[in-house]
Amino acid sequence: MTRNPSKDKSGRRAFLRTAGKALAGAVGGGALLAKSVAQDEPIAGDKATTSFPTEDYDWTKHRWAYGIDATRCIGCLRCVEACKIENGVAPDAHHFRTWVERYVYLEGEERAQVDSHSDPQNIAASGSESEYRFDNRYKDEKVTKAFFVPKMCNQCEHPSCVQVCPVGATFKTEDGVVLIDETYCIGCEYCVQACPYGARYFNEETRTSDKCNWCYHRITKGLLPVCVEVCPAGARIFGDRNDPSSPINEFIDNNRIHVLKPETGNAPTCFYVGIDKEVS
Amino acid sequence: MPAHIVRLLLLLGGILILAVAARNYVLDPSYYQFGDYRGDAVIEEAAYPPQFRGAAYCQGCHAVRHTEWTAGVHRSVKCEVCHGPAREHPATGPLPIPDDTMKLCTICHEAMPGRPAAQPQIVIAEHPVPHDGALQCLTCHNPHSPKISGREEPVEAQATATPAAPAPAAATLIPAPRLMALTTPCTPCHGADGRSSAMSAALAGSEFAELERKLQEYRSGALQHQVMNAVTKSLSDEDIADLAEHYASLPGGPTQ
Repeated sequence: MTRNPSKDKSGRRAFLRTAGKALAGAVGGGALLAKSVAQDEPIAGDKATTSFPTEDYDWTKHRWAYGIDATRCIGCLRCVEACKIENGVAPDAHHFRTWVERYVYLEGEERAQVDSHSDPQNIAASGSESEYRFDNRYKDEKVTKAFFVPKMCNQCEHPSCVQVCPVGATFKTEDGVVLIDETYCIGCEYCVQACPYGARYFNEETRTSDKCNWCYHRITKGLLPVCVEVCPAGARIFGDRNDPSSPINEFIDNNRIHVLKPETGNAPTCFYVGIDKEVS
Repeated sequence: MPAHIVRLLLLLGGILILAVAARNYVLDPSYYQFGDYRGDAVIEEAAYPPQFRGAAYCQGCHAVRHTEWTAGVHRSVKCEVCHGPAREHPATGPLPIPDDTMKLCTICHEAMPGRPAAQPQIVIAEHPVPHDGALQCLTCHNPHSPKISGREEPVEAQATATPAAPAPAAATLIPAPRLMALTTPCTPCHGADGRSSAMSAALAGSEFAELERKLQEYRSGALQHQVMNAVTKSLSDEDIADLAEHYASLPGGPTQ
């Protein structure tokens, strides 16, 4: 269905034709309209009997959650690279759905030095903006504490981005993922500003907002998000809270877990282990 | 009813019909299906094809490599981490085999503050086999199972194994610390007892003169061998004599 007839190259005639059809449909089917409006109301019974969004995957049966063990992250950035390939994110340093921050406390300093792959020195070390690695700038420094923290969309229970979207282009799915509807997004970037975690970016190519969706196209096919798939250190854990044998339940049960910025009330569903007070 | 009221009602009715028609036309039928969003957007998102196919997909054709890989310490590094996404491979052609492994391997294994202690890390300048650019990690390490078997033998064993009466030329015993420093680059391939022949020549029990001559030829480049040329480059005549003496003195025979 062409939603914006004015964009049609055949111009006014085509617009009048489609507008006429719409009008005829409206006049002719008043009763039908009323019925269709009634159908818009979600019916609990319907959802239970039909599998959505695919035949093999019923979103009411899953509740996804993500674990990050920062004590295991080696800062190799394979997750960043794989995510970009898997999701068609621009291969430059400044557009990304997931990233890794390096926190380094130098001797005698109170605050951590923080950098990520988009830092100019790290770009220089990798040789290009489309390759990702941390340089070794602290090898000769006196480091008291250092660690890596993978970050991405927290798929909040109460997402600020969904609340501010004026067109219903971003929403929380039944299985716990915040998605973006590229067709409805008007690119106003309210959501980019609303996210307390800086997880969203603006995709200049599609003129829409973009962010991590835990590889929704993979998890609905029984695969892991690609960052979890490629992580060689076991720092990223993913699973279904509804499945007792899922690694995410083991992770949550056996660790003292944190979420980022709990004070925002966003209630993230990404759970962290091994981060410091300065990480937010 | 006065005519102007009728006209007003007709106008309002018209506007109402237009508004309902516009809503019906503009709004996707799946909007409000589950909430204030387009339900079909979920179906569209779920329909994207995965690019990374997972190790099980590779196993179908590369069963031997898969077995070798799952037995080694690199089993946590999936095929597509180094070879890139499989996508429609093999239909779309072969996947890349990384050539600059010095760059690739150090992404994970360069010693760096912040990396967990459990992660094997090397200080490139201190690696037993010197890296001069020509030598790649894969010259010695099998990427699918990178641990070199000779390394796991206890290093102390070689010092104690040195017999008291060595080969003819040397009059004195080589001090253990010096011997250790000298043999560190040799052990990964030749074994602590000099008898490993899996990756290289067995050295133990060879003639002193033969060992000394070969080491000198590797150093000068008269004998060509990527790894040997690199590890012998910085040896002095005395180092070579001591090494030859040490390996000549070890009991020969097959690897134990």
